Amino acid sequence: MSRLLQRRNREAQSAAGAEREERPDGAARAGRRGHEEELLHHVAALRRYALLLVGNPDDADDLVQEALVRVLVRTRVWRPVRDLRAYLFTTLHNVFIDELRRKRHTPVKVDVEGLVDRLAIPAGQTDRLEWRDFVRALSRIPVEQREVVLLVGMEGLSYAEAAKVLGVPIGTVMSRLSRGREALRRLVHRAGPRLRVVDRS
Amino acid sequence: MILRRLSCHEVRESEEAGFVAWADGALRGRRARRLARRLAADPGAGARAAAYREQSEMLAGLRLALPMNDTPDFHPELVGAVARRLQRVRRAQRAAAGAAVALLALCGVWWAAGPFSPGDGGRLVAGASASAVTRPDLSALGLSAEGEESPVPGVRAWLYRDAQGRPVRVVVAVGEEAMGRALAGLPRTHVAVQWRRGAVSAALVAPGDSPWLAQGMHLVEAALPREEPAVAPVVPAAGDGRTSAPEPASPPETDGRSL
Repeated sequence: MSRLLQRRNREAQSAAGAEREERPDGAARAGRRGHEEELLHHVAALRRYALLLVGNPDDADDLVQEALVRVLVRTRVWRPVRDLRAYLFTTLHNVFIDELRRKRHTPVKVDVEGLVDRLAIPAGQTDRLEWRDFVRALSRIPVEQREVVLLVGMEGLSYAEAAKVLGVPIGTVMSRLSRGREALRRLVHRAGPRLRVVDRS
Repeated sequence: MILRRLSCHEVRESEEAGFVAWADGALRGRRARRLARRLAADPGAGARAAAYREQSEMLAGLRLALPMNDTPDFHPELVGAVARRLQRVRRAQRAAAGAAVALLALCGVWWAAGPFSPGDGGRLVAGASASAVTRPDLSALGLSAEGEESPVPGVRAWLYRDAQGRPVRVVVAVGEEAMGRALAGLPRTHVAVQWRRGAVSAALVAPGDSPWLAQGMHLVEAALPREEPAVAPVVPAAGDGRTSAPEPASPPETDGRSL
């Protein structure tokens, strides 16, 4: 576990402790469970997005943890949270941008094989080599294009939602998306067709 | 309107954006039909669009292939704590919205028939002096009185604490300007419910999630001094059975600044 993750664990522990002390006893237990389930669903999406963004599980969990700590520390009653998914993705994006600025000279190393190993690929569908080419191509497109491709293509956000999360105009989202998808198409195409065994007999 | 000729690069980018939108199912209506005709007529464009559609399927497949239901490598309490915080925030927002609706309704009722209506005779003393106001008793709301403050000359303010120890203030002033000065620097966690009666303004400053704001207004309102009715109720005159009204009291002489 990275040092940053350990530090964040300690911060999270103290923040969680503070929240527990403030928690009122008794009522709204069912509501709390519902909130937790909703949040867990979003946390899975955040971790998946972060994993494909930064390329390895430790850094991805670092990023998600930092985003959750930021939500815990900064969420205030006078700032309404209307769309929880957009709010969480926006926070994650901000944390990611801060990290990028901090590590400006450190290249992001994507563990493509490790990523492909984590994929639960259904048998008989697109084979592992194709997935590997696709994930590798995804890791090679510029990060601001990768963000849009993942938000829209993988997480299913609309162009307007993605624009809100990234804090850019919708035209920028469309432009980054088309350039990212075109780069992805060229990179996958360059990997070339592969020979496949069509008949073992 | 200034028309600009698009460069080849821009035209191509716009075309690719159309193919991507078509592949993502984001195109509808006439534009989608026009693009489908174009793709059918141009095999090169059709192949590119088909590649984008395959990409869309693989990207959606990534979501299914990475369910991320393993235990994350961070503190197990963190998600629960964030969920509790979000639940509290949503509850407070609902309470504030409810209080705002109740306040609006209350103000509407008061305006139509309550103590603010011009004809009911229950007005505050014209050009009232805030010094005549006694400290409102808000103990029914679970607030404990802490004492009087003098934030701005000519303004009276009382400090209370709610059950969580958070400060609540009642402010009475003559004139909008004095009230504005008294409420300057209001904490962001608090809301100020302010209302006016002639020259006198009153405000209740409380945490935004307080559920008793409307009730608090009633209690503060009750503590404000009222003048005798300008027109007394009609009473039977002695002897002849006819009715008459006594002469109205003359209003007190004041310049409205005698706080």
